[in-house]
Amino acid sequence: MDTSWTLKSYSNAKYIFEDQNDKRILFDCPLDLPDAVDNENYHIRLLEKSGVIENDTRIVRCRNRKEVVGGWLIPLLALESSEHSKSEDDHFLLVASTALSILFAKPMEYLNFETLKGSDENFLLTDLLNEDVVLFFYDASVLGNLSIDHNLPVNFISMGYVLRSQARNRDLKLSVPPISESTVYVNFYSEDVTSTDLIFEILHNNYAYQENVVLRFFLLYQVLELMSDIVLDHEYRLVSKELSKNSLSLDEIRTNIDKINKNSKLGRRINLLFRNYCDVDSELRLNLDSACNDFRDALIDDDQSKVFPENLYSVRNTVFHGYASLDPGLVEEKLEAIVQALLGITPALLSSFSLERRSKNFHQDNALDS
Amino acid sequence: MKILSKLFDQKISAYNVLAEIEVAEYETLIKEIVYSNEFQRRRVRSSKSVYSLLKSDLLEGCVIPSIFLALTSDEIDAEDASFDDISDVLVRKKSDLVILDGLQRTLNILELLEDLRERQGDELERFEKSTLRLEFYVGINRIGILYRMLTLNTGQTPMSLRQQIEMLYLDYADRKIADVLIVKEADGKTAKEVNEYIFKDLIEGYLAYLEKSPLPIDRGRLLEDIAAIDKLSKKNQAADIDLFEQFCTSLNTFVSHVNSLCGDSGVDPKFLKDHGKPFGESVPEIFKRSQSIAGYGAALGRLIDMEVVSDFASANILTESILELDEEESAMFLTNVNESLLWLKTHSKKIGNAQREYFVWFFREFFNPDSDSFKDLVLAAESALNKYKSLNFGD
Repeated sequence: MDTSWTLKSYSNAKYIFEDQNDKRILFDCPLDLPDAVDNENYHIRLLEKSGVIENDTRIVRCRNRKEVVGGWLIPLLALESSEHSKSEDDHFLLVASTALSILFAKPMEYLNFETLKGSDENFLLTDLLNEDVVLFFYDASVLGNLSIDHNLPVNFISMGYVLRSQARNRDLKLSVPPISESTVYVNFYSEDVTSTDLIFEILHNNYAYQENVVLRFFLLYQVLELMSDIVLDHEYRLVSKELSKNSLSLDEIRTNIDKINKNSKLGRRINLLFRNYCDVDSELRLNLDSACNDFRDALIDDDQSKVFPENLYSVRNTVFHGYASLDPGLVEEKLEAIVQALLGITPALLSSFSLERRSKNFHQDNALDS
Repeated sequence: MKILSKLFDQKISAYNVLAEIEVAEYETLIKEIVYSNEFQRRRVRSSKSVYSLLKSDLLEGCVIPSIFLALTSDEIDAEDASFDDISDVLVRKKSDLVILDGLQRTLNILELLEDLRERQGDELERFEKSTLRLEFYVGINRIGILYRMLTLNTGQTPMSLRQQIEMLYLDYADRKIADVLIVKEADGKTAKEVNEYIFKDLIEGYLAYLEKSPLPIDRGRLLEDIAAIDKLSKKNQAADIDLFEQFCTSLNTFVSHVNSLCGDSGVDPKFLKDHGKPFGESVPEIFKRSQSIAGYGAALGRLIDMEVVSDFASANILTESILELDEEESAMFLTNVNESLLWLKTHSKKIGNAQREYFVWFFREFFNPDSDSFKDLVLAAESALNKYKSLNFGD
């Protein structure tokens, strides 16, 4: 019979669990925890971040509601130690206590007791999970219902946080530059992005565990392609709507038909995606632009310069069609910079993607095209 | 109680005495220590069915395996003593007995006696008269007890290693060893004075010394280490020097002496302004914390093992040979330590472990004549971080 543990008692930050045979085990939290708060809006999700350190506790705020705290990212290591910067912070201690009470209310759902050695009486949380696990405690009244995986903040991935994999034998490969800020601002998928479950799958279950830089590049590019499918669909709709107008001249009809042909090409759709559908920070754009130019300078024998995002499409084509003839070491080095820049910009694309934005500038674009 | 035989245990240089005792007499012998010792009275729960089975076995007259005890008092020389003398001392000095193996069996016996008294049947008298086998280790020192505890408790263990060791040294709590006063945090006391130390922290430091590592240890490794320190056991048993006492006094020599050298100096005010509360503002605040004590133990363990430092007494002489530290040097020393620890706080996966490793390097640098930081507190505080970085971050 499988052992099933339940929280039997709690006092003074000592959590005692009992199994069906009355065997007891204990988690003795070294923090001076107050009583937990009972609030139906408070929830937890287990994330993972490669190389997370004890001092990596962060406050989470929503990018469009910066004034309220939406949650906390707490490394498990910070719940097992009183040496970190937040160990005497009253707000942190209250959150830690509440998060632990939620975690321990359903221990079999979150914790892997099988890893406990037979004779152990005291255990650490990192014995039951692992040292890279981060507890995401959130307030649903601020951040919304995040119980569905792809509802999690879209930019967690670019900060190195991944939904904890159920497959225990996989090593997380996702590595991002360290975050120095104590607060992280999160954003979510735009309502106009479809296939969010597929995109989530690509990012959290494939990209995060992939070591090969070429494959990582194509996984991220796959996300752009999925978005470019939405672009194509929307462009058809806009042109159809335009064509249904009775007042169009023959030239205007021709322009719109040409547009359908032009926009069906992937390069053009990627172009539209960056320029007409999304609103991303210029620094993110510049990073990607510069990484793409570096790649092209080092690996593509082409005098014709390409502007962003055409240079990205050109990199994609070079790697896709000409990989065998490229210097693998150089490709790896230059592509890594592109992948890092792409990982930074992808959440911004996914959250700022707007069909309405394009609808508004469609006519302006028409004028330019004609 | 009937003593049946005594055999000399060569490994731990102590006598093993085999005895038979009636349950009622065992209760009188052991009850006081079981209920007065916070570790001994800990009831570790396992399966209810296992308990009820053991209890019904006991009632049916089942012979249970011997219970092992140790007499920590050195009142008797077991080599020359008669069986009667041994029996007499065991009863007279019953408060100095420690259960090495058989705590759960003992607790079950005591619990069963209580149950039977409540029931008031004739089973009580029969059970009280049933016989148990006991094995006493007499003339054993604490390292020997620890070794035997670890070798006896090889299966399911009711107590953690830390608890067993704390139990073994519990009689040191709330008393003085030379100038060192050991306080137990559980009693709500704090170690305010320079010479006052928290019991648990000293135990951790002592374990780090035995293990030569400042990090949490496992039973197997400690057992290997104790078994390997044959020379240690011989030396210390022969001279009857308690290593724990040596460790405590040596640590206190360092803390007290360096504290007097630093006088009223403190951490650089700019550091405090920029970074807020430091790890510690004074020598006691820094060096009486568990991380530093573990570092002291582990470093001395390694240095003595490598014969760089011959013993605790030599370490004390080295410490006391620093005759002065001016105000500027003192402030720099305290600031360097805190700067190093701050760096560890913001870069280490596990801060506590990193701090322990840092202090190991600090003391190794300080006590090692081949190091550039030998007897130089300011340099040692800096180079310890460099050593830590080069080992863990490849800097």
